[in-house]
Amino acid sequence: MTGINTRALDRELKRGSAELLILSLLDTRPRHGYELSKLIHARSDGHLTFHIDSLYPLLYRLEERGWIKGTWVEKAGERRRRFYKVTAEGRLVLAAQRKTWAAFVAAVHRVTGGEHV
Amino acid sequence: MSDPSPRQNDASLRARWEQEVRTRLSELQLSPSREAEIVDELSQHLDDHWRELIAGGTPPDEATGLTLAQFRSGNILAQYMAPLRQSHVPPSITPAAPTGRSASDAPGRHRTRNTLVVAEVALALVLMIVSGLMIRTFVAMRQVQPGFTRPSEVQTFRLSIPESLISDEQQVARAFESIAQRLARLPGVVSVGVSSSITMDGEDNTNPLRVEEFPMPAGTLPPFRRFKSFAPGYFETMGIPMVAGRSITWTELYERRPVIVISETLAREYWKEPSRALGKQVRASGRNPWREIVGVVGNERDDGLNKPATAIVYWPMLNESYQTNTMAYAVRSSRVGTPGFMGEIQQAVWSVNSNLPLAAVQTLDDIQARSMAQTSFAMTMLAISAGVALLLGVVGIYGVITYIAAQRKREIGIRMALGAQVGDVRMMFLRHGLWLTAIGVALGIGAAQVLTRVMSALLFGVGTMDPTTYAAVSGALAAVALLATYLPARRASRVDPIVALRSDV
Repeated sequence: MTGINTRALDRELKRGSAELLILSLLDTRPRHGYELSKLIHARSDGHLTFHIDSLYPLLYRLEERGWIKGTWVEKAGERRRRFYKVTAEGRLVLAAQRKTWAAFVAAVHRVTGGEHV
Repeated sequence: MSDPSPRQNDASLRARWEQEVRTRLSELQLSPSREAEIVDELSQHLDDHWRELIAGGTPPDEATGLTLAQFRSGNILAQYMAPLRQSHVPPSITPAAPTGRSASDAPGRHRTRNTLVVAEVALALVLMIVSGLMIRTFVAMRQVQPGFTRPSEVQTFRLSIPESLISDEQQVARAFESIAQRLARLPGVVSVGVSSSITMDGEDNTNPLRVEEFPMPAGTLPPFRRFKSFAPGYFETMGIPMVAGRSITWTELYERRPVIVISETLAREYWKEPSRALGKQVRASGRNPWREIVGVVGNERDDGLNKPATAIVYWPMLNESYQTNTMAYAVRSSRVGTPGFMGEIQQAVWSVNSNLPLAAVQTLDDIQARSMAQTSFAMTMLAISAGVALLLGVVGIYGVITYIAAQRKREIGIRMALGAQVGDVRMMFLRHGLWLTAIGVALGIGAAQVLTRVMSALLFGVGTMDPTTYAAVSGALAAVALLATYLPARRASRVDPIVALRSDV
């Protein structure tokens, strides 16, 4: 092995954190899929992008686990949109994932010798 | 926003997104309602994207092309969506890949599997409780003192002396005695007994018995008791102990002395202490003379091992109340069951009168085994069913946990990469298995409480709600289920995070 496959690492980090990202964004208020993808892209300064065919399967999976709940919302003159919100169980998972993630980042930071988080 | 499209173009654009999404979903064979939902949601996403491009100044045609190109470039959508097949409800989608990693599962199927496991566990518990109760019944019956001892050493048979052959009662009794004496002389024979009925042989002769000391009010019948007529040697041969007093002699029998023997249960019913029954007077009807109780013998479980000891009155063979020309012989010998022994018995009988056929030839062991046959059969069948049900339940739990663990392999990898401990992962699966078991056990206990009432007639020495059986069976089932859960859970927790993650690339 000659070095770290940074693209693969990048991809794994994204995948590993995908649930956390979605749950965090939905924790504030209910959002629909497109809004989620825009927010992730914008708030990560373009570093994180969720493609349509990875975002929605992830949402369905979280919903099936009971961590989020999707509801169709119809407004006059507009097509219906599916809004997702975090369930009580999802909040517990989110709290645990946030804690784990923070510990992970801090640990990696300590190992890699960063001086400021 | 500089959307140049008029309203009908909006509609046609929307139709285009929908067509595009529908094409991508077509191979998934989703239920129509589910497909409609996903088409709606993804079309809206494409529409939003398109409008944003337009708002950013992209010409409409180019925006359409870009939107479609981006959607089409997502070439793994079909694989992500694959688990949605057969699903009618929002499915679980794990970021699965074609290389055989965690394809996710529809919740409907998941629920079905869980329900099946719960049902299997509940069924196993019910059958285990029922067979546990039968085993306890069997054990309790084995511990019951039937009244006789070492039944395998006692050969029994019935002899009938028809009136056409010997009509005089005295002569009939003499013939029975002669046969008993011939039998007693056979090699290996310890003793011979004669009685109208052997313990549990099914002979059931019950009549009212009057007790002098406890007169009945006029017009009422005294309690019915089992009547047997017997000759000296019966109690000794059967192994029925003398509790108080003595048995009768052949002289008393032939002289028709007014003596009688009763069983301990009967003696205690009237006089509490068996010895206090001695000297007391009884008779079958007001027309007969009183008879003095000269002996009290140990109890015979004449109605079966699972029934209380029968209250029995033993009349001397020659008496005014209970006369029979058919008597049963009990022959105690260590040679019972050996070749030729029955032949010798037959010859001994025929040496007195060659016209007497032997009937109901069986050992005391056979009689006892037959009295337990129903319990023994029910116990065996239920134990087999319970074993199969337990196996099914355990295989079910093992299968479900293994399956779920395989499906969530990648997720476990991520969890462990993020710092989850081996114990955490193990607990996650253990909890699932134990949860299924707990529900199954709870349902099973409920069902067993209802079902066991039906079988109360089969039970002996144990209640239908016996807490020991319920606790032991539930504990055993839970332990086996724990093991069936632990093995796949341990395997799952040994997933190498790197391998699990790499398998998704």
